[in-house]
Amino acid sequence: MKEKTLALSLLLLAACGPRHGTLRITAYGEEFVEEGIPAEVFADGWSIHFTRFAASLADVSAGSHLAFAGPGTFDLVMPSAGAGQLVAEVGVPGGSYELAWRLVHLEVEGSAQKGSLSKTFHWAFPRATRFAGCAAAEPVDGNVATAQLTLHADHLFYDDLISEDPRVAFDLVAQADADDDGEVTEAELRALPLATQARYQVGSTGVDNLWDFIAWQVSTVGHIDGEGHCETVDRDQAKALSR
Amino acid sequence: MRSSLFAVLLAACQHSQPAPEVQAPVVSDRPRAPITTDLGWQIDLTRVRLSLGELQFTIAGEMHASLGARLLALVEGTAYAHPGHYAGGEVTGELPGDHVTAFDGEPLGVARLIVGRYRGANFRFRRGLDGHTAELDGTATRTGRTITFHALVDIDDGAQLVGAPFDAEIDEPPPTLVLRLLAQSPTSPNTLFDKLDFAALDTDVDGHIEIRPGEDAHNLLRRSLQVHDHYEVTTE
Repeated sequence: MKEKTLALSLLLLAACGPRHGTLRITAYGEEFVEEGIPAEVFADGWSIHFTRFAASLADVSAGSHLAFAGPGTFDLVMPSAGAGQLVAEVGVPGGSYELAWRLVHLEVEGSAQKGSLSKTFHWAFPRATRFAGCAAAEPVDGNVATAQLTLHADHLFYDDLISEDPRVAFDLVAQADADDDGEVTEAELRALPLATQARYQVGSTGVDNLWDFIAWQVSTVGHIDGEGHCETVDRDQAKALSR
Repeated sequence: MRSSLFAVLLAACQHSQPAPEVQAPVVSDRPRAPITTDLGWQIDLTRVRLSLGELQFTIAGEMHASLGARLLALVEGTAYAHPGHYAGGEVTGELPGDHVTAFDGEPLGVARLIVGRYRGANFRFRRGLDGHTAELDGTATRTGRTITFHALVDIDDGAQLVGAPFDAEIDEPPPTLVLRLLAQSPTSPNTLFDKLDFAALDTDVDGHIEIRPGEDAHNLLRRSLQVHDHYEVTTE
């Protein structure tokens, strides 16, 4: 009798827990990617318009559930009315989930404007940054819950790796256009040393040129559900791959 | 505020598993031997002042790993994916408050640490020296020429130095912790004053230079002061 009572109690407990549902995982670059980064965001008056922001994602998991093995490339400049691009839908037991994912490659193409000045860029970062511990805001409880992998494009233009309050800036990137042909290339960014710059502090990272600086920032773009934070792991590996 | 929050962490850790805490005095010091830069200048650093705050001690997280990280993230708003917030270990010890230190053996305070094996230390740079972060005086000598220098260095208030080596087992009785400034990196040929050509800076050839914010020389010094190779914490 006691065993039956215990079994019934367990059943009731299970019935009261969160119910099985679907986790819908999207990738979104926010308005900054779909519409551009306005001049108000920049400390030095530039604005950015992206024509390509192709994020290659892999090993997207929610808890112990692999949702998307990938890699798959999602061009986040495609207008989505705030919905982002669908990465995967996976059936999962009810509960709250932490997501983990890898950004294995990021290709960004676009232009920067400041008054009559204009620069274009087309950069590819073969990163292997893994983001983990991304706590999804919406729990699964018999519903279709959405978890959004959010990529913060403005980080690519931060002017400090360690400051608590980095600025978004483009002046130095524009100055890197050594041949003044209007396109800022990887080679030109690599040729710009940071040692005597007042901004663009790098702490103990060992980063010493502007290309590696921006490449390092790629490892900070990953977030969850907008402003939710993830832990960046394998950052050193990512740095090594950028060289 | 941070002290009380750290208490929350301690309490939580203690609740989940016994985690004895020790209180260890912290002093600062630095080696006095001259060092030689990449450009061949022998530097004798005669006076240092550094404004810093929130000295943290980190442990390779196991027993307290996940819980500690989450509690600190909750109470400090830790943003791992932002600049200045690098997940370099779990913070299980701290010396709160802001300090101006000359690295001459003076006490900084008493730190609270959970017993365990420590791997690193972090601190934040402050602007507690009349708006500056660091002040350095010394002499630079090369091939018989000696130039005195006085440098004022500005680093963003709150910028964090992460991962200064702190390799020690902390247990009862608590040791004294020594925060050291290392003008010569112990792990590389790098010095605090690399790339500084003192002769070129002494444009009036009076044998003395002033290094001030806004100058390339300042920016070089500012950059090297933020490298964790130039600090360590040891026990005595």
